[in-house]
Amino acid sequence: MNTQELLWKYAEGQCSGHEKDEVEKLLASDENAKDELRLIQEIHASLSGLEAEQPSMRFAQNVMESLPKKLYANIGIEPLLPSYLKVIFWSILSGIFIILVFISKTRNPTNKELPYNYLINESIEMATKLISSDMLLYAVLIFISLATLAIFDRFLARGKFTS
Amino acid sequence: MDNDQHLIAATLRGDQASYRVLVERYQDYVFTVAFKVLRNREEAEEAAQDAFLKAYRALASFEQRSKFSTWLYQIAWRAAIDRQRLKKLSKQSIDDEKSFLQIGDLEPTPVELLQQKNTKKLVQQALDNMKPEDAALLTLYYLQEQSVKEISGITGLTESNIKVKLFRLRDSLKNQLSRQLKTEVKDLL
Repeated sequence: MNTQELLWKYAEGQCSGHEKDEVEKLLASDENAKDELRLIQEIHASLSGLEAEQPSMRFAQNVMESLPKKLYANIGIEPLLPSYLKVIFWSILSGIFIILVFISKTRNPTNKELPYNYLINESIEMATKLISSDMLLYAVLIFISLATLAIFDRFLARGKFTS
Repeated sequence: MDNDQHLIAATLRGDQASYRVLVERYQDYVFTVAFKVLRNREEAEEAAQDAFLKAYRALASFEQRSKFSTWLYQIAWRAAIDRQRLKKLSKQSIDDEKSFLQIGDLEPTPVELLQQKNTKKLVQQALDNMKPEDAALLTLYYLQEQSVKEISGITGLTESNIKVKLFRLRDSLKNQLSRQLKTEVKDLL
């Protein structure tokens, strides 16, 4: 390594112990080397103190406007069930629930003279038929399938692709 | 303040506002690299904008093996160099020392003169006289405080080549400044 190179390294504080000793020995004996080092230190300080150039005020805005909008856009997954099917699903479920409550309340009606007796009797009859047939089994299976779909739909909708 | 990794992850999730933070964080340095190479504000701004756009498009492939800034400067460097090649600029090289001001007789020492002068301004002038890639190399080293290894990643030059270049550039800079100062003193007398 030549003297100049060593002086630059010294000015930047990158000398090893041995190199530092070598430079200091040189500086003690050589006035020119001392002047060289001072000049190098001045230049080093000036270079280190350089300031960054600044682009126009609108630069960041221009960059943002030039970016493709959909490259990393939030990918929301459409629910598997359309909303109108959900309404139908919950309506059926609610209907079944209301009928079951109604049946349980009116299985032994005390007042057969009430105007809604006919409706009650019909409902009881229908429910009895339903329970005794395979229809209930099918209904339960359909209900479980729909419930599973609804839960799966919710799970996907809150997946990692949504923000 | 969010670090770069968090902002990158958020950008990849679709949050463009996070990328804006990155743009605002690095726009000065990216622009400076481009400006040093191209020596023209409008073109440097276009190159810097191009660099940010390229970085955005390639963000998913950024493996974070280096700092984001190093990766970004590499893109900016290439964008500026490509633009410069297209322009076929023929700027004065630092090697062409004949074009610098002539050396006068030895009078005061350069150090004494440097202390009286606005050193920064002189250094800036000297940088402007350099070959654009060389000025950008010094800018990366001093302004952006990139290590030789990082500059190697940015420019594609080998580390030993960069070390040699940096030494040559600084030495040339020193010689040029000495000559300029001596000439100015001579003109004053």
